[in-house]
Amino acid sequence: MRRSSFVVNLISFCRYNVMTVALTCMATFMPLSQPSLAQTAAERVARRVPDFSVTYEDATTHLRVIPGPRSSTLLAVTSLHQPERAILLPGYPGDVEYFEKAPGGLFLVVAKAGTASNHIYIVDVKAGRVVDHFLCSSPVISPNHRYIAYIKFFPERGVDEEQSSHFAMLYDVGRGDERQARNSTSDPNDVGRLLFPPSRLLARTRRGGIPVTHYFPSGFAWSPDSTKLLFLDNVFPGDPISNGALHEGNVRPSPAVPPSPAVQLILVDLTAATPTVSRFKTERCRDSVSEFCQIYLRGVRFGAGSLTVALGGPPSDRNPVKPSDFDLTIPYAHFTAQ
Amino acid sequence: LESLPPSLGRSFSSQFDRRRVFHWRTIEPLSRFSRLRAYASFALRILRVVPKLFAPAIAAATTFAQAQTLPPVMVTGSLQEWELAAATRGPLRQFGDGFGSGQAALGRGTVSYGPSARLKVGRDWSEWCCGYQGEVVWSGRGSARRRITINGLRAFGLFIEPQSRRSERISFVLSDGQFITKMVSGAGGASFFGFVGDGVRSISIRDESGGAFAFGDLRYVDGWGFAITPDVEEHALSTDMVKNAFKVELDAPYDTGGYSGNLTYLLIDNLDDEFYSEVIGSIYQLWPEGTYTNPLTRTQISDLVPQGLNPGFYDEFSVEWGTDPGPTVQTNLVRQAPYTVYGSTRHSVYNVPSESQCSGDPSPVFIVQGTTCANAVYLNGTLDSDFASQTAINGTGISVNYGVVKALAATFANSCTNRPQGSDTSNTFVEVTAVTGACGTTLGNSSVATFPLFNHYRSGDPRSQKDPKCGNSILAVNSDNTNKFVKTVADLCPACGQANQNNGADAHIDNFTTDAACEGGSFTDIPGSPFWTANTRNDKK
Repeated sequence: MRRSSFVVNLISFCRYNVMTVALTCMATFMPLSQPSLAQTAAERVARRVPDFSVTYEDATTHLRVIPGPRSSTLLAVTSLHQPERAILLPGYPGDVEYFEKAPGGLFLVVAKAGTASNHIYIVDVKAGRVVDHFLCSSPVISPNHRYIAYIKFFPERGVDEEQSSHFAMLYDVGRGDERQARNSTSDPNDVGRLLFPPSRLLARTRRGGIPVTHYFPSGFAWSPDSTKLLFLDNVFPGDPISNGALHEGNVRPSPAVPPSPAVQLILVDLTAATPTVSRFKTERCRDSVSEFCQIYLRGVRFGAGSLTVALGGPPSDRNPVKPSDFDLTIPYAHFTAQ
Repeated sequence: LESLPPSLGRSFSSQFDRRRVFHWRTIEPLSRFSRLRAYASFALRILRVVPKLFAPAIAAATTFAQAQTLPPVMVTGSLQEWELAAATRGPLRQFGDGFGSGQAALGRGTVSYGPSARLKVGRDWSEWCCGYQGEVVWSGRGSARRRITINGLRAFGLFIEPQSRRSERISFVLSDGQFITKMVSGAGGASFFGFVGDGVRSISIRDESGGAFAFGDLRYVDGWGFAITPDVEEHALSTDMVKNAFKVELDAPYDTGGYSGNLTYLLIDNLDDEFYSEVIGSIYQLWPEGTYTNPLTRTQISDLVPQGLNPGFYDEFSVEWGTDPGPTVQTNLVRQAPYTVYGSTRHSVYNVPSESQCSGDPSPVFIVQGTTCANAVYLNGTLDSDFASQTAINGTGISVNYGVVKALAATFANSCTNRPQGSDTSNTFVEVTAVTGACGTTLGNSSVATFPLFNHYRSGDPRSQKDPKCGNSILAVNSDNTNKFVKTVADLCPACGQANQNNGADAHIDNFTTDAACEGGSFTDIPGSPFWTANTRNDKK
């Protein structure tokens, strides 16, 4: 007992002194005018990468995150029969959230950027480089790891409703030429293909002096075969096009419905050469607490001829097991093409 | 008296002797009711002895007794006339959506109409009247009659429209025998029928042409079916959620005819049928003159049972006195109190990146000076690479050499086509004079960001009444019901609309801080978060 305690104490003593010597050396070589900066940077790295438990491992590849020099983050890659190499993840990323293996020997690295945005890195581990990198929100990788559905990036603060309107985007990792498919000339964040709203509706950005904006409250849901993508869209203000509600037991057709927050389900079919977008108007939502229609996509089940969605209010500690407000089973044929 | 709050006990004592002074206010119908009940009891004994002989006489006596006991009931086919009369019985309320399969809850009352199909005007039932877009109840295929049982309502009315597009005669018959009948067009001509008064147990609706019909757009005053007529001459209500002061002034004593009960403050959310009441104190027999200012239990957020004001849009404040069970007297005056209660709310903290706190490498950038695409000047400059990355994500940053800069995507320059080659959202920043939010005002430690912001709607648009809006006051309250802070809405927080950002709370608000850091999201939530939070719209009511 005494011996083991002595060993433990010896190890602790050595670790402490080694760290002390290392920190002393660092302080020695740092400019005297900036001792606090060095400490701040070290703390920041420690906080941004709180632990190194985010790893990926299969038969041929092992990935892990390590803090890099200054404020950068490195991806440590160990490929089969090769020594570990480090790949720099640019753009000052926060915590790495997860890895996904993609076709073509690529890996997708999803890291935090701010409070509600993400960095996406497409990494070629064989070549040891980042093939592509962009910012986005709510990324969801398809089950076959080929597609990334996401909301186009916008700054998290200091933007108005128009600037923060949501655009559904698709990045096809398998194409390998998404950089060429982007819309603008050189913007690193303007990447991938626009899915929704359709480009022909983008011109109608204002209605009666009010900007028409979209908000996707629930993220994206992929079908198991990665051919369909579903998400919920709240429109501000209500889009008259979507007022032709599809429902059972029709009595008499509806006259014009006053503009209001509207909810619609958007279905993207990727089987065609060009993704086809269609939508299903569910219901005029009833305003809730903040006078804002809070309906969320709680679950999706893709069937052969139809899909079933569970829609409900946001979860909270007041209603942790709140049942779905309503379930809808919708034949695919009932989605109206754009 | 010892059990009363000090203010109420004092008032009660001081007013006790005045009771005799105001003796003339004693409600006569109650004592008269007792006498009539005795008469009816005696008559019933006689009825047992010689039922066949005296039955007609007893029925007449009973009818007479009821007529004398209850105030007369008014039946009308005019909405305007109904509203004038019903307003004397309490606050007018409207019901359009949320019909049950056979019953609808109207405040503290109910109407039962039997199993029926509910249709949506504009979708299932194309035309109605007067802009109404809510639900209606269908009498059913070929069904020309429908009986509606009334409970707990002091006034009630509804719109009726025949299914046929022709004009058909509709009859509206009360349980006391009164009725009204009129022609109603089925082509968007839904017409109003209603009554005001206590004691109506049911109504029967009949389409005299034998066709089906629908009814909806209900109007009512809830309360007890048997109630004491309010006799409060003057009273005044005021509310101040920030000071937590809810005031009622009672100017006249009120003899309750021997009943005892509680004084209760009511906050009502007419939109979501949320109803919050708090018993302020017990007052026996007399409603004493005086002014009462009391706090409400705004919150008591516990781990197990959240209490206090639930999330909702509370638009009315009123006061009532009543026994449970028993008659209730509600003040006629309803104070508009538009408070939006967000409930348990996560209060995160955000800042803008500060270049002086960053330690990246210098990187070339474009610095834009100007306010329009035409007069914009693009300068070559250098910013810390970490600062540039963080500012592009956050939207605004404080640089060492260029002052406050905004990310390209958050400015006018994003849509300019004359930007220089190589300029993009990651390396182009626009000089501005101050750190401003979506509202255009300078952000400080008392600024908050919310989602959404209803600022773009013009006056007259219903959405212009919604909140939060720029300039609204946000009140956060500790779990012990003391104020945490009051801040001002000044920015939009797109991420606050995502439920997974709420950390289990009902809502999410982001609080700006001037504390410096290199990253935009460097600070943890305000200690003690979540807080019960309300939008008080920065005014007293």
